[in-house]
Order: sequence, then C-alpha cells, then structure tokens
Amino acid sequence: MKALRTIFVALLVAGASVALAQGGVLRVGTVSEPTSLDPITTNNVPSSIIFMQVHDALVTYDQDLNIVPMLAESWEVSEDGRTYTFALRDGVRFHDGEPFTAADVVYAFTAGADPAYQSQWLGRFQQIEAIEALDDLTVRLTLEAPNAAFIDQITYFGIPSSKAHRELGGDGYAIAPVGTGPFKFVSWQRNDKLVLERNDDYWLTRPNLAGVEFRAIPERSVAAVELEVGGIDVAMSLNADDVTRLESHPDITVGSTPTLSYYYVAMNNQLGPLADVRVRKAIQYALPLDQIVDTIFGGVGAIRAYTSMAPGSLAYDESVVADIPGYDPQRALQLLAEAGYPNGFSTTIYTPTDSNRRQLAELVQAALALVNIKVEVRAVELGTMLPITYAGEAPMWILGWTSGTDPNNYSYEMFHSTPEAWAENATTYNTSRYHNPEADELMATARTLTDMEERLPLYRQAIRTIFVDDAAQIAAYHQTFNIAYRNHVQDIFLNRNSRMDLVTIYNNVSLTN
Amino acid sequence: MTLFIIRRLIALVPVLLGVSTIVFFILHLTPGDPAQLMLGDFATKEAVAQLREEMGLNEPLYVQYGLFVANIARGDLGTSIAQRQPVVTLIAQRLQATAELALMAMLFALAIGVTGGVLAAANHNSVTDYVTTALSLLGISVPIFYLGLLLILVFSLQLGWFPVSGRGAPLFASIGALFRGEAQPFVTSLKHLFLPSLALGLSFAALMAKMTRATMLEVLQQDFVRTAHAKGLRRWGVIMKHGLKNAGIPLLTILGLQFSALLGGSVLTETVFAWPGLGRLAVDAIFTRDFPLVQGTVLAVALIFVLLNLLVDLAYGLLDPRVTYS
Repeated sequence: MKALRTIFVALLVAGASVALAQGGVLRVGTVSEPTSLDPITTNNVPSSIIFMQVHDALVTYDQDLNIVPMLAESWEVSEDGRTYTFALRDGVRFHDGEPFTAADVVYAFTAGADPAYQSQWLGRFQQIEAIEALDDLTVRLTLEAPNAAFIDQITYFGIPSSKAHRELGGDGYAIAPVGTGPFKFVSWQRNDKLVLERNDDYWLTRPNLAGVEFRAIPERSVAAVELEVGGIDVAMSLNADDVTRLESHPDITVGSTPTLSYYYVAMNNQLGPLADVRVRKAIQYALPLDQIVDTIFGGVGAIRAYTSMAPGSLAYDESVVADIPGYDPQRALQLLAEAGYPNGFSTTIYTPTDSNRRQLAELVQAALALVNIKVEVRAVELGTMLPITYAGEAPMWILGWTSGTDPNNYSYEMFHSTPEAWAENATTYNTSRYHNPEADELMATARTLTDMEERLPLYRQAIRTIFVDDAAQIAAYHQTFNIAYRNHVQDIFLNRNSRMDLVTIYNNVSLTN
Repeated sequence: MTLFIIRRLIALVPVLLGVSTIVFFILHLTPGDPAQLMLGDFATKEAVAQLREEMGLNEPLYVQYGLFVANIARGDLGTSIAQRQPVVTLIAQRLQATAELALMAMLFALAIGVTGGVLAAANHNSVTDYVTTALSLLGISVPIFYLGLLLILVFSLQLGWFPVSGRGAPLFASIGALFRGEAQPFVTSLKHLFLPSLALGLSFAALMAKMTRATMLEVLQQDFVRTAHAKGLRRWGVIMKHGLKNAGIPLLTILGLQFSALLGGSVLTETVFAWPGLGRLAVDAIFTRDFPLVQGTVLAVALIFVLLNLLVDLAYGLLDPRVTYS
C-alpha cells in the first residue's frame, strides 16, 4: 500500500514537472515592488504591470495603440459624447469560477469612485455621473461632461471578481487578486518574489508560459548582472551603460521602443522675466537640446523631444517639429535685449533627484550662463518639489509626464488654463500657468468630439500655438523603454506605454530550450 | 538582577515615546503630502482633499498625534497607506530577513575584526600589524554600496560562486530543517546570505579590528600581563586569556552601539542585493510619505536597538565579575 502511494506521488510530481517544462516559467526582474494588486484602488505602473497579467480591462490597445475590445466586445458612444454603452463578452469566467457579468463592471467603477476606497483612480472617476447594468452583459456609463479621452483612460483599469473583492475587502484583495486574465495569482512574498501561474481557461487564448515570477531588484546594475548569470530571463528598466554591455552578450537580446513619455523644462509663464514670451523664446534659442540629450543618454534611453507629442502619438506633427527653433545663442541675446534684459537675469531651476534630470538641469544651467542667465539648480525630492510648483513659486523646473495615449492627455491636461487652481495654489497639471484663450478653445473643443480624425487637426494647431508661438515650455526628451532578455524568450512585445506584453491579442510569449 | 532588568524595561517607555514623538513631528513637518503622492497623475483638488479626509490628515496635528500615541499604547501601529496592510504584519514579514542579515554580518565582523585586531596587537609594529591597519582603514572608507556591487561582480558574475541577489530559504527555518536531515535549504540560505552579510559586515569588521588592536595594545602593557609572562605562561595563552578577556568590555560596548550603524547599513545592503528586509521597507515608506509605516519601522528599529544594548549591559557581568546589577 505504502509502495503504491509512493509511486502515485512520484507520478504526480513527474507529471507536474512535465507540465511546468512545457512552456516554463518566465522570471522577470522589475525595479519597483508593486504596492497592491487591487486594480480598483491602484493605478501606479509597478503594480499595474503585474495586476494586468491577472486581470483584463474593458478595452485595450493593439500594437499601434488603437483601442480595441477586451472584456467589452463592443461599445457605443452617445451623440453628446457623455454616455458609453458597453456590450460585454459572454462566457468569460474569473479564476474562482464565477462568471464575468455587468455587475462586476458596475462594482469596480463604483468602488473606484468611492472615496472610502482611497483609490488612485478617484481623480479620474469623479467624472463618472452614473453607471448601471442594463442586463447581465450590458453596462451604461454616463460622464458629467464629454471627454473623448475617457476610453483611453480605462485601458489599464482591470476588472476584479466582485464576489472575491467583496469577500476579501480591498486590503485582503490587494494580496490575493482574482481576475479573468491570462495568469492566476499564486503567492507574493513582499520585496522578494511574486508568482503567477497559467490560466488554462483563458478566454482569449491558452498562454504558452506555465507561469511568471516577478522579482523586484531595486538596483538596476544588479538586475543586469542577474540577467547575465541567468538568474532571471528578463530585466526591465536598465541603465544606459548596462545596455551597451548587454548588447554585446551572445545570449542576450536588448529590446527598445520609444515611449510617449514626455520630459520637459517648465517655466512659470506668469512669473518675473519668464512671463515675457521673448524671454521664453530666448531660452528656447539658447539650449542646444540635441547635444544636451545626447550627452545625458549617449543614444540609449531617450530621444530628443520637440513638443509634448512623441513620435508615435496620433497628434505628432512633423511641420511643428520643423518650426521649433534650433540652437542660436546670438538670437537669444538679441531677444533678451529686446525684452529689457541686456545683462540677463538670475533664476532658479528645480529638479527631482534622479541623475538624468539633475544632469539636464546642470546642462541647462551651463547653456543659459552663456546668454547671461544665471541659474541656480535645486535638486529636491519630487514630493517636496511638486507643492512648490503648484504654489507658482518655482520659476523653472524639470518634470516628466506620461498619461496614456490620447492626445488630450498631452495637451489639454497640461496646457488648458486652470485659473481657479492657480488662485488657490492648488494641484493642477498646468503648473506652467500657461493661459492662451485660443489654445484653450482648440483643446476644449477637441475633447468634446468623438471622431479622432476631426480632433487631430485641433490638437496639432494647439501644439503649434503652445510650443512655437508662445514657447510656453521647452520639450527635452522622450524616454525609450528598454528591456533585455535571454534569447530563449520568444515573442516578447514592448509597447509604447513602457510595458512588456506577455499574452495579448497580438502576442503570446514562450520559452524555447 | 531581575530588578535591574525590570527597571530598564520600564525605562524603555519614555525612550520609545520620545523616539515616536520625534519621528511623528519630523514626518508631518516634512513637505510632501501622502494623499497627493498616492493619487499621483490626474488627482483633482477635490480628490486629494477627500483622500486627506479619509486618511485623517485633515485633523489638527495634535489630534493626529494623540491618536497615534493612543494606538501605539494598544500595540496598534496602524495600516500602511500605500501597501494597505497592517504595519505590524509588514514589519513582522521583514524582521527575520534583516535579523539574519545583521546576525551574519556581526559574525563576519567578529571573526574577521577580532582576529585581525588580536594578530595586529600581538605582533605590534610588524608587517601583520601594518597590513591589518591598512586594510581596516580601507574597510572603513569603502562605501557599502560600492563594496556590494564589487562583490557581486567578482563572486557572482566572474566566479559564479554565489547568487547575485535575493534571499534563499529563511535561515532559522532552514536550520530547523537541518535537524530533520535536510541540508539543501540551509545551503541555499547561506549561499544567498554570504555576499550581503559580507558587504555589510566588512566595514564593521574593519572598525572592530582597529578597536581590538588599540584596546589589546593597552591591556598587553598592563602589569598583570607582564606578570603572567614572567610566570612563564604560554604567549598565546596570555594574549587570549589575560589580554582579550580584559579587552572585551570596551569591545562589547562598541558592538552594542555599532549595531545601529549595522541596521542603517542594512538599508543600502538590502537595496543592492534585493534583500527583502526592514531597510528596504523603510526606504519605500519614506519615498511614498507612508506615515504609519515609517513610524512603525523606526519604532521597531529603536526597540531592537534598546533591547540589544540591554543585553550588552547584562553581558558585562559575564566578562567582568566586578560588575553588579542593582
């Protein structure tokens, strides 16, 4: 009897290891630990890249960033642009076996908009006026005001099993998520290892990988070494010098894709000399940005930016790019003299403490010194710096911005005037205090239209006004998203939202031997 | 003795209260709003205000402080803002990882430092002495961060002897497994521990070497040592029994005090080696302005530090029969 049991156990173990070998487990080194795996409360990238393997959203992107169906098979937008009716996919089941229905969608959005959940989606979901289930597979959602970018804003809002979420509570769900996604949650030792396993019944396709293991390795060069010795299969977010080394490694491939992220030198458009458009243009002329970006990144990790629209963005416009002034310090001096600053002036630039942006600040300082603008660099932590910019006290500062794909997010959100917030020194994304009624009008109109083809010319016009005519901000660089992986990893896809896709409508990662 | 311990434990209360008060006010007076940091992109003014309300951050500071102290008194350290788990749980999960790291580092420090110091003192002004002194100067000067990376490059990348990063099996559990005849978890555990604890322990070892050398030199010049030599006792017997034992008390004091430096160094070590310990928890908490979690980790570290120094005080009695506790 005992012998029989031993054989049985041995068979089981053998069976399990065969199943595991088929497909294998992908070991991924990430930089930051997720904070929570609850998509309802959490919307930061380190968490999202993991919980979106466990959950699906209503809609998603294809390779070219067009929005395509996911858990919603289709959707309709009302004439006035405020009401969205989603037809949900039938026959989808959560990892706990519960069927996916309209009730789950209503639950997720309602909880996300409820302050009691302290959700990071709160700001975005306050625009939702009502959401209701019309039947088991139809949801109607109404916005307070039309917002053409709304659909883009929910592409990473994963839908949890409302039953599990209710039973576990937000805090319990954060460490034991139950979604409909390609992988099921297995375990998570914080700061150590997070394990997912294949969802054999995934509605889209059967994932090739038997599982995924995420390890947070905060020091990037250590992650690179870990990849070299084969301790992990994929390393995300690498240092530029490590990329160069890994590129020459025979067993490793370095993948790179430009992202829509946008890093810039901001100027307070209402403060001191910078309120004068001639001064801002002088600064535009005084900065040799091609050289600056090349010095910081050495061709790895970023490309030079001309406006807030990165190449690949739908509203990217070659003609605007061509009209952004090149390096011309003589012209800068001339403009400064015209504005009444023949001997220059002194100002301050704030920057977060990461080395890229600190270096940018220092190079800006050096370049502006040549046109007699004396710049003091203050490197402070982001949490300290933001309130100073909100209060309108910083003359110049360096920040980055990344917010989905919709052109609205790279124009309206950063440049539409917010006089109320400015008056109260409150949080706003137009910290530059840029105010041009013409640009306001263009961006506000574009937001209410539902046809992208109609919206794009308006955005292009607005971007021209902001960056060429008003020199409201100096665009510095768009980051590229780098990952490196062992050659046995197949079909990995890097998208422009700085994410690595594992199982989607266009790819399904596998491991070869 | 019992009375002494009880009295010291009672004295813990004002110390911890002081620590928590200082941490509380430093945190709340530092710029940076946790609600704002949490909501990040797209937070409207209303959303931030609502979140602040939910988090209780809109109460006057003294009310928040009162609540904080009252909760601590009940053993409740609150819930982490960012990670949404009880602070006590989060700390408990990490405590063992940091404990094994610190312990191993301490062992390295003692083994290398005391040996080096004794050798240097016993061979005063010899090559051994000079080499030890030079090495310990180097050891104290090299930043842990750099040393860690260097060790990884040499021992993991080039030689492949040790894993690059991460933690193996929990040490204490794997020792348990060892008694049941399973060696594997223990081996993995030690392999993972080796480089991080070496990196953490080396600067400490250097300091110990310097201190051991200095105190040993002093002790070895005392009359009783000369007497011992005159009686014809074996040289190393004198050095170890008469010398080292009497040099023990100052060394022990340093050991206790330097433990805080060790915990501080663990922040860097844990970051380099991706070690899931208390130090990384604290760093993450500080960057997200996770007030309850920062307060909790600092309190935990303070408690460890105070308790450890109590142990050191008690150990004096073992080394020096003249010490009594009252």
